[in-house]
Amino acid sequence: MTLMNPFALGWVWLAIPIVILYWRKIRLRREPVATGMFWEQVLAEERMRAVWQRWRHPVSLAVQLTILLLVVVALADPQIVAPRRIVLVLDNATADADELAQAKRQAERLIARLRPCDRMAVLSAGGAVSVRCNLSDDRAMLQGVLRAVPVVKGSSRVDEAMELARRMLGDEPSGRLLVLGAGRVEAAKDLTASVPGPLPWLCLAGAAVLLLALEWCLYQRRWMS
Amino acid sequence: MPPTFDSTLLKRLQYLSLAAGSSAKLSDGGEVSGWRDYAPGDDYRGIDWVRCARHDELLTKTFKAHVDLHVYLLLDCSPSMGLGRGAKFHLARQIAAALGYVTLANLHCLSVAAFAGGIVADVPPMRHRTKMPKLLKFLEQLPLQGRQTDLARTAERFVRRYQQHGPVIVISDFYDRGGFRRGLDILRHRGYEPRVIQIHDPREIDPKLLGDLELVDAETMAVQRVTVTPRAAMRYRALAAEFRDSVRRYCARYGLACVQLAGDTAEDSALLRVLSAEGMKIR
Repeated sequence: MTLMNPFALGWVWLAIPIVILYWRKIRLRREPVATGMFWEQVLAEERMRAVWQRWRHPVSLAVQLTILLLVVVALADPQIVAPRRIVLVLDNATADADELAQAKRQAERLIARLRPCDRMAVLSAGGAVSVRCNLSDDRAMLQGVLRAVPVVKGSSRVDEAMELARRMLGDEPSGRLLVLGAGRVEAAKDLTASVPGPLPWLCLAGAAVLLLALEWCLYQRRWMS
Repeated sequence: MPPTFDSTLLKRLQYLSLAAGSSAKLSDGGEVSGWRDYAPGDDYRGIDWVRCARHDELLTKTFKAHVDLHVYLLLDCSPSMGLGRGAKFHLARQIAAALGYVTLANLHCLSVAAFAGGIVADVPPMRHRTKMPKLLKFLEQLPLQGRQTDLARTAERFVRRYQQHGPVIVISDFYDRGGFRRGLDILRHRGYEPRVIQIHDPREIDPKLLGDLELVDAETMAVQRVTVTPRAAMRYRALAAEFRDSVRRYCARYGLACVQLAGDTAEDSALLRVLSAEGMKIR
């Protein structure tokens, strides 16, 4: 499982005020009584209920923290996906710098959509096949390498580059080969933004159910009081 | 809290004791046991004028019936009596003062002892109305003290200390974890005549408590964490009422005088009720 938005986990700090408010709430009020004889008898008779009463607050705190955890995980957007291995072959053998620039822009968009678990390699096929960058998940480095690919006036060796790319990917089941440049705009349609999986919704649904259960218990208690 | 005894107390006690029919009076036709110096406050009808003329001294008669009665007051001064800004203890001392006044005014002997886990303070036996200031001072200065109420131990020490039998008026809330019966049984079996005045605070009968609380026992200082639900509060009220009924049933079973008062009862009303109760009259 991968978290698409791991920075959302920072919201876990909200657990601190929840715990502080919990401790403030359960601080008990002291009442002096002339004798505890009768209360001891009442408690002895209500022993089973007393056990539940003793655990009521810790259970309530656990439920609240669980709700917070589920919401935070939902915000972090967990996805169960297989990491992808993508080799980008950039055909920089062209006389038109604009064509290459357009291809580079498209490649940058693809790099921006990479998930944290994905890795990409960049090969250039103009003149001689060159491995600009090996499989990496460092987007900044990939962007930098991409910008540094120059226009080459020479023949295009895309087939050789594709052969090399296939060797790099090997038997990787999630390997993808992408060729861009010189009129080839074969943007991988499957590299569009991934459809969110069901996990975040499940987390939110779980949080909603727990919240409803908590409210129902509080309502019952208020009604009985 | 107002001062325990104000300047009008003696007048009020005189009036109340008259109203209750406990007024001081001479023994009607009792045998004269002797003479003593007249003291301010004595009934002038007891002055033996013949002796006065003979001896040139103001003498008053004493009668045998008055000399023989020794009245005891056992006053609970345990911490449970001080709950609710001390209203129970205040009323208890007022009642002790009233009964002491009636006893002394009727020329009986009076002994007062304060107890908690045992007898913690007492006053030597007194006789005569002139000892009232001493009684009031003792009651005024008596603090709440001691720990748990132990009526049985108090009764055992009491019977060892006070040999002369007589009425023993116990003024307490009777919150004794060992049970109130044993102490009263000791007094009964040893030939004393226990009489019971039970004082409770209305909040002990019907505590307006709900929710999660820490209850602190005033005597043991034990802390008890409870969650008071409406059901638990109802059960508590039933137990408290049952306890008061048990005191009443015990007294009825053995023919002991019993008066039960709420701590917030108006003073004069409470005193009148005590002084006029059957079995509490001291003549």
